[in-house]
Amino acid sequence: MSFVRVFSILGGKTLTIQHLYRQRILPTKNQTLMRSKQLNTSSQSFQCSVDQMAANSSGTVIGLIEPLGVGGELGLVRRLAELGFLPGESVTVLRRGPGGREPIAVQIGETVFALRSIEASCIEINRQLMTEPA
Amino acid sequence: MNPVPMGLQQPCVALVGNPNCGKTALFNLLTGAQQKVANYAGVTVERKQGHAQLADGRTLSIVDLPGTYSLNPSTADESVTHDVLMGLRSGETPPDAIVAVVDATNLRMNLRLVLQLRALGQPMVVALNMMDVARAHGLQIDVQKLSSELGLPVVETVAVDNSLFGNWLSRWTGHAAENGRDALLAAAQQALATQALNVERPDLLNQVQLDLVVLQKQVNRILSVAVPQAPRIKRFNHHIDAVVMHPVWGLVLLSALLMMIFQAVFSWANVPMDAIKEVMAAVADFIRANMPEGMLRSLLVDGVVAGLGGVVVFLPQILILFFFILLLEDSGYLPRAAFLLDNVMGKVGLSGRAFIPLLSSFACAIPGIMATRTIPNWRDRLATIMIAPLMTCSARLPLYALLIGAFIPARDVGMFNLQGLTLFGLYAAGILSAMAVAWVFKRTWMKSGYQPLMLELPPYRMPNLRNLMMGLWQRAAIFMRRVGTIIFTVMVLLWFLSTFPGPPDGATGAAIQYSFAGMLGHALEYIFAPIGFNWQISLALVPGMAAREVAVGALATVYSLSATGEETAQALSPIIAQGWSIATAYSLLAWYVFAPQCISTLAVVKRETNSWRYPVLMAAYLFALAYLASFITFRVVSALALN
Repeated sequence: MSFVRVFSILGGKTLTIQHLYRQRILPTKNQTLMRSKQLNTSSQSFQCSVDQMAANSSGTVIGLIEPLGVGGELGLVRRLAELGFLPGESVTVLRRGPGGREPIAVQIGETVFALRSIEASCIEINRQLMTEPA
Repeated sequence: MNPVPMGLQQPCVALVGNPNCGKTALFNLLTGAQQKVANYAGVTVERKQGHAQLADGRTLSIVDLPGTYSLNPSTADESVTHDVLMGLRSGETPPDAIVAVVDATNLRMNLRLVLQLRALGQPMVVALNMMDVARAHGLQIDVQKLSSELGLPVVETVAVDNSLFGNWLSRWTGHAAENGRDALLAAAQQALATQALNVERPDLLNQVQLDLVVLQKQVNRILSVAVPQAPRIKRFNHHIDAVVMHPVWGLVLLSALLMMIFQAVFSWANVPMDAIKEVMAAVADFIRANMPEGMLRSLLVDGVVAGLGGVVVFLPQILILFFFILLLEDSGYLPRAAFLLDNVMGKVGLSGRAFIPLLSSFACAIPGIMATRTIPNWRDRLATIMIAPLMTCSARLPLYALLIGAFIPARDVGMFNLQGLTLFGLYAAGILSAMAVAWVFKRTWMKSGYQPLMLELPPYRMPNLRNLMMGLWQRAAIFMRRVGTIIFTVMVLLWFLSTFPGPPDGATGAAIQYSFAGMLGHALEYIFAPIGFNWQISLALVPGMAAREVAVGALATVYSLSATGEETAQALSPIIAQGWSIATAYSLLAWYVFAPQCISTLAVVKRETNSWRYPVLMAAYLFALAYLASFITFRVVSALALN
């Protein structure tokens, strides 16, 4: 269902920010893997959100999703888009806070932002796998 | 704040851009103003107006606006920019032209806003700022192509000369530095004359607003033409961040920095402080030697010299503190410290964005409370406002320094000085109680589930010597102005209250005992005796409400007038060292950690929250905490001192 929308964004059809709004789904790692199989166009890449990325890893933004429960009324997704988290832009997680958790220092383009996990979880990326097995 | 009718005599040009791209530095360059600049997002939270002289003698009105990421405001400071641009502020028309300020080293982000601004249809010029940094990075920008792709005039500017003595050298040698000031003003003037105003801008705005994805595509296309090698240029030094933002080493570095600052406040200030003391003593002696004894002499010696001198003596310590604060602000370190401490902030329910407003509160709670405008959520903002006065403001430094100097021996503890450690402890006490209060607030009546962070971490920059000197000079000027106005007035008033009515015939004690001030002090002593304050301290707390430093000056005056013998010229510190118990001193220190009495802070809280409820609540909770902390401190130290 919502994969279709993701693809439409990738395919570069009518692209307005409305397309970036959709329901949060598949927060667990297991489901992310399932999804990566479904999406499996090439075996070197899979989808996840920025909060699931380790330090020093990169990817490309596919789209933004609303977080569960909170953030909607705050315009979180709109804000992230305004900060530059837009489809096609490359994202690098530079480092994470104490214990590998919040906050997350994320570089988008030539700008670095400190994000909390809930904000990072709204950013869906396509991750290029370099060293780890798929 | 005064609405100026624009567009009649002087055309008005607004500086608009992303946060931290150097708008205010450019504003200072254009107008000769000295507004505060620093290396983090959200320094400017209010519109600032100035005038720029053009080459042909005419003037342009220049407006500096808070930085914004888009024309869709999320925070109170962005709303200021939005409202000014749209002409929504009452009594104001929109600016006649826009100067879109962009950081040349980060066009990918900055150009999105430029394209949005272009859709407003106003005459517009792009200021390609920080060109010196871009060149130093080897970034080649084809300004011609950029200009033709945008369809707008583009002018290269360097608002802050980053070479150590650059601005001064160029002034002495007579060569104006290539900062682009004149070119920018000329371009703005030309744009005003030639570019037509597009009337149908609201529709255009909506359309552009929604299509951020399309905008980014346009930006990428423009960049591929005008700055082809941009992707290969590194804007950040990740090696420094590997240490500074490290979960362990970063915190070690942060604590070491803070310790060093507090050490310096005590160890560097001795020489200038002694010099000021000697000058003050010499002035008092001079007056005493050359004036007949009487009312006026007492006013000058006991009221003005003792009172003001008691405060002025702490200027060197305040300047040393600000020297370090300004260095940190300019370097880009502060947002990294916010990154390190975000976990703590999150645990007590504060936004990570609260860090910088709270840090500003170490200078003074008033700019700190204004800076909370960068916090999007109202409850988070309110919680930050409520705890801002718990950050130890520089006006409390004189009292801390006085008591520490009088009661804490200058002994070395390991590599640290005990006085510096005590000061560090007092600051820490303020911070810890702020966290505790925030925790209680956010759990009782200001609940909010999620506190946004989304804080930009700027590249490091070498602190600019000229900015530093100017910042220190401004601080000294603000302090001396307070001494000359509020503190002077209060001291003279206090002297009158302490002198009249005169003592009855045959009275044995000092005259002040029988005066209005003496009566007030003795009345207040009933309230404050349980926490160990004598009548002199109780009295000094009252003028301390006008400005916290005044409490020190008031103590000096009260003790100067209380002295019956000839030793009135004695400095305050030895007098209280002999006269007070150590429990009283600690209790007063504890009181000033909370120090509810600052009227200007309460007034700003009223203005920013638009309600009397919050300043009243703030004063009440701070008073209760101060009393409780002092009570406990006094009882505990008294008990320990007896054993």
